[in-house]
Amino acid sequence: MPAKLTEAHRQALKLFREQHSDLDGTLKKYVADFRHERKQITEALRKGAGTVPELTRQTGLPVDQVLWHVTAMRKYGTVQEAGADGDYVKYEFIEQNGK
Amino acid sequence: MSEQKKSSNPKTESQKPRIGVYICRCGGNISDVVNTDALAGKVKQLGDVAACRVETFMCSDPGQATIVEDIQKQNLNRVVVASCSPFLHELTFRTVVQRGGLNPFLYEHVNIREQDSWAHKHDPVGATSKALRMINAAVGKLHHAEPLERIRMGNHRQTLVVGGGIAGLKTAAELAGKGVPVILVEQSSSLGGRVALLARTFPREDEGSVLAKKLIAQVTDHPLVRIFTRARIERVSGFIGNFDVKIAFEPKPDASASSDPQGAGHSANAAEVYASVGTIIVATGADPYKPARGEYGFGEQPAVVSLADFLRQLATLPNGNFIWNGKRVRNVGFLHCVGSRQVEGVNPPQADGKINDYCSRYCCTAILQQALTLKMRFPDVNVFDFYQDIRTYGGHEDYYTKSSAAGVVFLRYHAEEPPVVEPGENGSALKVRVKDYLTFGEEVEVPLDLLVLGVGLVAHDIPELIDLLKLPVGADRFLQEVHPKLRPVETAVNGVLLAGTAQAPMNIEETLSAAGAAAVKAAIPLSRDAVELDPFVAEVNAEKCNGCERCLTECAYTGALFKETVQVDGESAVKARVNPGLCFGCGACVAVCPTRAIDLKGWTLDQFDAMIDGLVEAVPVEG
Amino acid sequence: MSSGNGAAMRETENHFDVVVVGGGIAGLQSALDLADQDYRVLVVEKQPSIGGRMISLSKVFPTLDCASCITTPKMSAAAHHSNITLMTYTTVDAIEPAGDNHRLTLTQMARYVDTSACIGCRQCEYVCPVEYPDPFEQGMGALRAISVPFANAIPQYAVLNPEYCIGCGACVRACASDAIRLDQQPKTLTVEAGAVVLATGFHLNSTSLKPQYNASRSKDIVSPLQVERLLAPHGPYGRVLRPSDGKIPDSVAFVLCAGSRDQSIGVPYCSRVCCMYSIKQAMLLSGALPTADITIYYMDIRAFGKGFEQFYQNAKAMGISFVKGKVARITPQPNGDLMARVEAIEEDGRVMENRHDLVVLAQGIVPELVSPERLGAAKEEDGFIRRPDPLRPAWTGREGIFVAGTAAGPKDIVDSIMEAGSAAMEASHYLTQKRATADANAPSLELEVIGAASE
Ligand SMILES: Cc1cc2nc3c(=O)[nH]c(=O)nc-3n(C[C@H](O)[C@H](O)[C@H](O)COP(=O)(O)OP(=O)(O)OC[C@H]3O[C@@H](n4cnc5c(N)ncnc54)[C@H](O)[C@@H]3O)c2cc1C
Ligand code: SF4
Ligand code: SF4
Repeated sequence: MPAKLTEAHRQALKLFREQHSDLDGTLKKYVADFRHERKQITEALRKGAGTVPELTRQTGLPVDQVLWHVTAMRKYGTVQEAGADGDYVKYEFIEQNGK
Repeated sequence: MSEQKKSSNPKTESQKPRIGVYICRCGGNISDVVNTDALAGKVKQLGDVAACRVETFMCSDPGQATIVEDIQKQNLNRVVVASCSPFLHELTFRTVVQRGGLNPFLYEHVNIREQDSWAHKHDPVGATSKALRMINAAVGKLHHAEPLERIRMGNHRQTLVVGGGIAGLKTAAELAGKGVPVILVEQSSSLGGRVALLARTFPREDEGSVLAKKLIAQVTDHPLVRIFTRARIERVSGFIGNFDVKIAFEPKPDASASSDPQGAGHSANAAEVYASVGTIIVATGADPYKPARGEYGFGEQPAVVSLADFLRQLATLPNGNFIWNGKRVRNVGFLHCVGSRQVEGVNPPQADGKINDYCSRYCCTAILQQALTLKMRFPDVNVFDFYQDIRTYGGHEDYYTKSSAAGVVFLRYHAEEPPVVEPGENGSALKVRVKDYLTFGEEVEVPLDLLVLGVGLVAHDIPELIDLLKLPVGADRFLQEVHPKLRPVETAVNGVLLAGTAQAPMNIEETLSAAGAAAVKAAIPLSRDAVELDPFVAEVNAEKCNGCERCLTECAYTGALFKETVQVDGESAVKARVNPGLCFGCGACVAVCPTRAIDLKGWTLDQFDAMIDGLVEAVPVEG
Repeated sequence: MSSGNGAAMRETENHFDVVVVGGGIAGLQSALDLADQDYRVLVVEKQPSIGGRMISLSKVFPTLDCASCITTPKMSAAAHHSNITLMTYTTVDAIEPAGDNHRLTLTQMARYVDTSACIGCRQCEYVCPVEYPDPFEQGMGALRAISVPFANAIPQYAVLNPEYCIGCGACVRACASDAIRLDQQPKTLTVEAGAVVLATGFHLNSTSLKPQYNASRSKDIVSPLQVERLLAPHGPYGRVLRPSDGKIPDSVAFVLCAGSRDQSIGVPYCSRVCCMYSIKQAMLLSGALPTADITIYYMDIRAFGKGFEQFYQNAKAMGISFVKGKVARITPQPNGDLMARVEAIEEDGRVMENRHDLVVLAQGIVPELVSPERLGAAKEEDGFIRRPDPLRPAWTGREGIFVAGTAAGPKDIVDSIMEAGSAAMEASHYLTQKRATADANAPSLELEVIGAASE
């Protein structure tokens, strides 16, 4: 059944969207911020490995958010540790094949 | 009495081994040191290894499911898991293998965590190579593995409870309530133990004797409980489901000289009771610490008393002035941690040369309960409390809060500088010198009319029972559980359980909970007709046995090996035989048999040879 | 292939010998002790996985066993037990008497996943585009809007969080088993039980009760549950970092009794485990951060259980510094440092200002279950479930309803396990009595008495 949605799937999706309509736009804003931040951090990391404070300087994002994104990316396999710089760990981007 | 079924699982027998090897990363505990991927690469090349996988947590559900699926889809007939200690997970994986449809004994557990990654943290290359050798040994062993069946033995569905304090009474009441017959043996002439002597118990201020009486009433009239007082366990043999016990009795105090037990009519004093029970609960309790003569003035100064004596007497005193031994008392001190939390070099050792370095748990609360009662009943008495830490945990904190509010004066000493008790001056009986860390470590002198020693709990001295039941004992002399976190009431002896303060200091409520937990663990094996034992016992090959009887002299377990006369080709010959219920699988007989006629099931000599070969032949993994 | 439910619940099946409410260590132990006696048991757990708090701990005091290594065997044994049925992501909302039995009203929350089809392959999680702070990691790591809750969760089914789902349908397309059900709705069920064991556990009270510690002003003023995750082998950062900026901390402080032993915040009692877990965390931190200074500010060190005092003495010998003192205030500095103002009781009451870069507040333990009345029990003044009979510490005072673990008051794992066994014993005793009709096969005592024994 993968890849293609059946009519039943489409009905279910419709119902879900109705029941969880994001009336005040909170989710929309969250997701927009999330994507924007993730993109900035990814771009910064593509330029080379960096510590959380370094990535913060490059992106201008809140430092705790930078840490959260980097470790999230580590969990899902797009970032790995690359040694340390003083009291901070350096992180590097793992280029995904075919992406 | 044993019935051993032969397995008839088509998958497991006389097939070419197809071995699955599963390597656990243990969330990094293993894979941070051992290169698990490289290891798997090498393992795949070992003979007859049909599948090899690495998982983050082999014990997790997906890990287990992988094994089951591989057994079924890839036709595996033997399995190795290389992970943590078998103590934690050997049983888990045997069950998994069984769920996959294999005999659970066609499984080998390799400990590459405690014995490898943790032991060789700084040598990843060496650790990886060691893991490979260990796995190779297990694979070799499995080549010679046979399907085994657990040994099923009859089950005497009743319990023996040793000790008639609240722990013993509670286990008896619960078990009988569940329909399990109980024999309760108490060495003294009365039931109820120490609680029966307590005037007031914390935290609900119940009367101890009332609590004890209620429990006693639940068991004394119960048709499923038989109580023997002045009784002791004289002999125990057997194993879970089948302990044979002999109970003997102390002569009555007024009894005349003992009679001849072999004689015609047994006299009342010579009674004996024999019973077979499935499980045994040890509820022999603990004793209050008895201070040495001169310890904080005890035994030398009449104004120094132990907490147990104090609370008994306080309950009997009339209101008004606080009169103790005929003297008006104005200043009372309580000293915490007497006989507990001792420090090497500061406190003199106990009779066995060791100090009591543990906390006795109940005493802080018991002391403050008494301090508060004293303050409430005799408000003009000054109460001084000498402590290290106030351990009124949980809701007991209430006693601390209220004692402080009632004006109890607290002085904190350090274990290295215990208070010194000296004869008093100017009319007071005593003087306590102490460096008080609540007032800047200043040395203060407190004149007292009475000093109460907050004595801890020490293990009850039961050398005979320890010996009879082969009970493990901890460094603190309390009986030792199998696992202090997960299995607090079970002992290393299967079927023998611990209830209450025999295991560790605890208060009444905790004792009752522990007793309930012990009761349930005693009830579980008795809920079936048979008990099942591990199959790792000795087995004699009668053809090879020449009847030399060397094994019989070597065996340390009564009844485990015996000789039997059988007919061989029309002539009678002596052969050794094993009682699987009594055999501990120690292998002493195997070592002395000149004809290699004895083997341990699951641990045969061929298997040992194969393991040794496996250990020496493996190729080390490169970095 | 079954992914966790030893006995899958059939629609028609709604009577159990015992229902255990809560699948933490206490609930699981009770369930196992009952199922091993051949009672049929239903375990109802609110979270998507069983395991309770214990599965999220790093190591446990005083043995320092790895918590997930000793919890998974229990979880797995319960999940695969032929007498145990698990219902996760389900709450027990009400328990009422029903004749001789109890009727329980349950709400099964919508997972948006068909558990009979899900094989826990996580393909949905890999394609989901939204991530949010992972509750299992105390917010420190990330979880996708649809995901398997954590690596060793039982059962291994994906759960969709509608708060973060944008309804893009990527998971529906990715699922080879066609297990995603976006139209799933919460379901109300009733079951009947001969007896009930309440094992609903605890949570930590809010740091906002202690405004002087300013937890809201710094991410580095953390909860002990966060520290457990930081120390776990599989934790959110894979090592110990401070959550504000990822610095490897060099000075960590523990503030004990930071939510207990304080009448003014409604928690007059002592939470019983915080001294010990703080000592444990301090020891583990000193292993993970060998050069860091670690300080424990305490009033009394309550190391009262078996092996605890020795554990405490070991921690002292390892160089962890124990300061008897009241922490009056914690003030975050602009550079991220945390200044602790401490009245050092043993140093003539002098007030010190100490710099730390990570501060752990030992929050108080409070009951998870707010209204035990709805589940057939009553509560004590302190909010925990009431047990009126001093001789039956596992009994709530209501026919056939028992309690185990932290639902009855703060306590550690071993004490929870003892109580769980005790509750299981009381429940089986109760069920036996209830069923007892003149039983022809009733057991009798067998022994042989020679002579007159004293009885
Ligand atoms: C930071 C920290 C560290 C600790 N470290 C240790 C340690 O090292 N050693 C130690 O011995 N102890 C430690 N403890 C204590 C230990 O966590 C507890 O003793 C133990 O987890 C209690 O288990 P429980 O089953 O009673 O409760 P819980 O683990 O809380 O389980 C209760 C379960 O019930 C569920 N539930 C609640 N209400 C409902 C409902 N209405 N319907 C269905 N389900 C419901 C909950 O979701 C939960 O899964 C620590 C505690 C903390 C806070
Ligand atoms: S409970 Fe209190 S008095 Fe007793 S040993 Fe422990 S600290 Fe000392
Ligand atoms: S256990 Fe220790 S830290 Fe926790 S409330 Fe009690 S005394 Fe305070």
